[in-house]
This record gives sequence, structure tokens and C-alpha cells, in this order.
Amino acid sequence: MKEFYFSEYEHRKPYRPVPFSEGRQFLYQYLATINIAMGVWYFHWRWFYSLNIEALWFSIPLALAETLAFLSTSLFIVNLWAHKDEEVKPPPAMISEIMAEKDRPPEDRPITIDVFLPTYTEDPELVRYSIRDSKAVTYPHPVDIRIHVLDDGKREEMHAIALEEGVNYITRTDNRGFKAGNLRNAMEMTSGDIIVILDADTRPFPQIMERTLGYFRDPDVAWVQTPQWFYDLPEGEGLESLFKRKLGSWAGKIGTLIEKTIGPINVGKDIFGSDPRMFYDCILRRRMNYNASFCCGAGSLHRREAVQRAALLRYVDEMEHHANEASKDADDPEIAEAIRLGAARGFMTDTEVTPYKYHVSEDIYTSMLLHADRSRNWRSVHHAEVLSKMLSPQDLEAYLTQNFKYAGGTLDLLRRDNPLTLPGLNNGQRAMYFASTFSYFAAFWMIVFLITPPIFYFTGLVPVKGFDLDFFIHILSFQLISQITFMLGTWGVNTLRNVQYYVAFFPLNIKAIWTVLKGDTIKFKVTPKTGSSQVRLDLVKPQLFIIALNVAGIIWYLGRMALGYEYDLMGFIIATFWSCLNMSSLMVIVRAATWKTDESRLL
Amino acid sequence: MLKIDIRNENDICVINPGTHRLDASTAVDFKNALLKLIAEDNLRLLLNLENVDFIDSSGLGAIISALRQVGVKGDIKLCNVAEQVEELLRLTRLDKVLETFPCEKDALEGY
Repeated sequence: MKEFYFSEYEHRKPYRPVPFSEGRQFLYQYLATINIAMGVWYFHWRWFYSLNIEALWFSIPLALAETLAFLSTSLFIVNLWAHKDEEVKPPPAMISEIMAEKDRPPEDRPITIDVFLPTYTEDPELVRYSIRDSKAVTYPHPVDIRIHVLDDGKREEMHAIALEEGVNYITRTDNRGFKAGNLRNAMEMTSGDIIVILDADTRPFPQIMERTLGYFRDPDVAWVQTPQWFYDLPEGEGLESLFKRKLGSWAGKIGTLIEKTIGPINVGKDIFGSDPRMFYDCILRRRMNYNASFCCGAGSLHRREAVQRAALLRYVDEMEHHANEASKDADDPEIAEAIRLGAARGFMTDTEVTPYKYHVSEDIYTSMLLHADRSRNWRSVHHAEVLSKMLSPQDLEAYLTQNFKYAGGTLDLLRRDNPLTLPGLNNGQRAMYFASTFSYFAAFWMIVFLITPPIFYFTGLVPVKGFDLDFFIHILSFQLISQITFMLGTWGVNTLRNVQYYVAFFPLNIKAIWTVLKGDTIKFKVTPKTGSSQVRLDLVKPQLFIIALNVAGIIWYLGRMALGYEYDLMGFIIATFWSCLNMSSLMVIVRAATWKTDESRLL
Repeated sequence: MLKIDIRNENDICVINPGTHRLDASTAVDFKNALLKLIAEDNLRLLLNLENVDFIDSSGLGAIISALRQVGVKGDIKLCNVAEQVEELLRLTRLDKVLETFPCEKDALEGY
């Protein structure tokens, strides 16, 4: 087997899902309730007693930003409310075990499973790793597992490897619909009851089917998503070795001392913040509580019937949108109906039935339609245990592209079908799908938070009435309870990078919102995982601007103080505290932009 | 292989899929048969489903693919539809674009 940079990470073991603890959950729910109640108390004070009447243009936007942030936090609290992991069931052998009685074929037979490995430009030798691992999947019953390499690159070398490995090779004459089209093509050529979706670089663990197929014993289970785990994330460098390398052995000793005092520090660990653990182990996992976990693409298993049903639902949904658009100006109902029918047939002629696109940015929409399908009571399962490994994006641009797609695809929900009004969803599902879209609007309140300290430095105005005892009681107690609630809600998962990137992503999210509002399609470039080793400060201009604004503001204010102008010391201390916190988050993405990806990682 | 029965009645191609179940295992063959007919310029199709007692979403998807191929110049209609199939059409809201008739005679007259 050809060696790649990731070959040295073969030994890495995935994280184990955070074990459930009833006591911790109770404590979380207790604190979360207090947090919400204190939020009401805080915002009552904030809106009625704390606004600086002399600078309402400044204080109202900040209070509004805080309120919206709290609304988002409340949705997050609801999301994390309770665990409801599904119990793993024994793996089924026969088709009758996974179908409702009325749908069963007259003659029983073993279950058939199709494993799809779509590829386009990836090194065929890299795909070989995924094929080998797929072949090594075990199952306790004699079911029919068929592995298919779906090569849109039409490469002889890939074909040869598929033959060598003894797996099926599927290609097509065109590349219509890119990856989604590739998968659809394969779906039309196969007939397995269960479809396993992998990416070219997804390497399943042997137990992936044994652990998940049991869920399909419930005929209403449509899909099972497993966490995506990047096994090649940079581990970072300890402070001791970093100082020693950069400054000499004396500095190394200082590094050791610091690490001994406050614990191990890994500089550059997961520099791009691409570790999706918080998303899978906290957010998606606990959406099980509302039957609202959605499909994210690679690492998922699907009931073919549900995939096809979702495709039809989506198709009809889009067809009706199209027909409604076409007939909206017709006054006469008969003419309107005729136009509708014509438009529907026109749509059908132009459009193919498309199942999931097997990418999180698109699949959240298909997942929502399936959850809203009133003819069936579809359920989704999030299996918390990692059952495959894959490669992470290798540079900031790749990571930004990926996140831009996530943002755009999720925001697109609002434009297509508002989860708050779509019939067929339960209240929990409504709240969760809405929360997904709403979280991207954080960009707006984040900007207000980021420029509040500079406004203070340059104008001398404060957004609150004054820094009296009342102010500190309110802000400190509310912040404290929020932080503790968040810590308990995400217990066992390192969320630092998530929080930092949540702040630092504001320009990307605004761009996504703007693109969706304009009605443009989010352009889905294939996420580059190949990486480049150049410094790309151009990607982080808005963040650099905000940092510069804060630094300039602090210098400016210090200058004023030195020259003996009137100053507000308490205001300055509080503003610099926020400035430092904000800048530390923004610096992470700046560091990522200057990160030199190791040449060996460039595939 | 499916034993599909194809007849021509008054310029309408009447098709009787030779299976009781139009599901994932038969949908590909059935779709290919329909596409072949359409490619031969048979644009008015009538599916007589008297022997079919079960269609799943894959089967329905095959019919929709064929409907896409006939385009706006032709049509596909159904007759002798089992209760399960009728319900599936209604639930997926595809009954709006796939007209059904109680029997072949009615269908041929009303086409």
C-alpha cells in the first residue's frame, strides 16, 4: 500500500462518546432553567434600567444584539436539554426483520447492502485504503454486502484497483450533478435494501454495520448517521518544545514551568477548528430527544425506501413551488390550474428526481422534508460512537469553503421551507431546524459585540447608564450562570475552538446570508482537501481590520489618559477586557491563515 | 427478468408489468423497458396495474423517470390501481400529475 502522510496516524483511536450521567443532566437542566429565568431578569433590567439615554444609537443596538444572542443561547439550551440515545439492537439477517408486515415480500431473503464510495480526483491509492477497510467490515449473518466504487473521473487506474480489490466499479458518460449525480446514478443501478454512504477518504471500522443495522428493525427508521471523525488533525506542539525550538533551551525550561503550573498546552492543535466533535457529540446527538437529528453525508446508512421517498417528496415539493410561482399572477382559478399543470409537467421534463445530495449543506433540507412527511412517521438515529475515520481539510481556504457551504445550505432552508411553518414537523423539530438556521445570524450580533469597545475608545461614550454596583451584579451573575450552564451542557467536550470560530466566522456568515438573500445559489466548489502551504492573510481581512481597530482604540485611549484628558477608568478596564477576549478569538483564524501546512500533507 | 406485456390500443401503448411488486429489485428493469418504448416514439402510455399489488418509492421513481422522458408531448396514465398504490400516489402528492382510471376501458376512452 502506498504511504501517505496519514499513515503515521493509523494508531490513533477515536474519542469515546461522553457517557450519560443522570446527575449531570439533572444539574444541567436545573442550571439551564435558572439561566433562562435570569435571562428574563437580566434583559428586563437591561432594556428598562440600563440603557444610556444620552447615546441610544449606541446602547440600543448592543442591547438588541445581547437579546438576540440570548435567544440563540436559549435554543441551544433546548437542544442540549436531554440525552435520548437509542439502544443498539441486534443486527438483523433477513429482510422481514426490517420491514413492516404489510410491505414485506412474499418470500423472505437476506438483507442486501450497497456501500458507495464516490470519487472524482482523489488518488486511487488513497481510495484503496477506503476499499480495503470496507472489505474488512464484519457482520454476524450471511447478508449480501456489495461495495461499489463510483468513479466520476473515469480513470483506468481506479478501475484497475477496483478489479484488483474485487469490488464493483461504476462510472458514467457525463458528470451531471457532480457527486449527487454520481450517487444517483449508482442508486439507479443497484437495488440494496440499505445504502452505506462513504466519501472517497472515509474508512469504515469493521463493526460499522453490526453496530448500526439493528436500528432498522424499526421500519420507521429512515437513516442512521455516525459521527465524522478526522483522524489526521494536527496534534499541536507542547509549549516546552516550541519555546526550545524558537528561542533556545533556556526558554524551553520556562515552557516546562508554565505547563507544570497550568497544565499541558498544545500550540496549533486543530488550528482550523475543524474537529466536529461538539457538533456530533453534543448538538446532533441530543437532537435525538426531538427526533430531529439530520443527515450529514459520509458515514451514514440509509433505508433505500426512505431515500427514494425523500427524493420524491423533494421533487414534488420543488415542482409545486415551481407551479405556484408560474401561476401566481393568474386571476381566473381555471386558468391558474391549467398553468399550474403545464408548469408542473414542464418542471418534470427539465428536472430529475434527486435523492439526498449526501452533503450536510443540502441534506439538512432533505432530512427536514422526510421528518415532515405526514404519510410516514420517519425517524432518524444519531449513533454517537465513531465508526469511521476520514481526513480533515488541510488549509484555511478549504475549511472556509466547507463552512461557507454549511452556512449557505442551512440558511437556504428559510428560503425554501420555513421550519417554523412547514406542516408535519413536531414542535421540537421546528425549534431545532430553526436553531440551525438562526445560529448563522450570530454574525450580526457578533459585529456589534466586536465594535462596541472601539466605539467606546474613540467616542468616550458608554453603552450603559453607568458602572455601578447594579451593573456588576447583573452582568456578572448572568455571565457566570451562562458559562456554567454551557460547560455542563457540553461536559467532556473541548469547546474552546468552537467558541473562537463562532466569533471569528462573522464575515463568512454574513457573506452566506447575503448570497442566500440575493437569491444566488451557493456555489459548491468541491471542498479542497488537498491544501496549500501559502500564507493567506487575504482570507481574513475583516478579522484583521477588527483587531487593528481594537488595538488602535486602546492606544488612542491610553494616549488621551497620558495627556491628561478626562477618562473613564472603569469603562476602559471593561472595554479592554472585552477587546482582549474578542481579539484572542480573532487571532485564531489569523493564525490559521498564516499556518504553513506541512508539505507532506499536500496530496 | 420481468415479463412485460405490451399492446397497442388506438395509438395508446398499454403496458402490463409482469410482476406483483414494483420495488427496488424490479424498478430498474421496468424503467429501462419504459424508456425503450419512449425512445421508439411511444409517447402515450397506459400502465395497467391489475396484477401489481405493491409499489414502493423506487417503483414510483421509475414511473416518474419515464414521465420525464415522454416530456410535454406525451403522457403516462394508470389504471386498475390497487389501494396501496393509490394511497402512495396520494401521500406523495403525485396523484396530481399521474392520472388514474378504474379500468382499462375507461382509461382508453378518457385518454
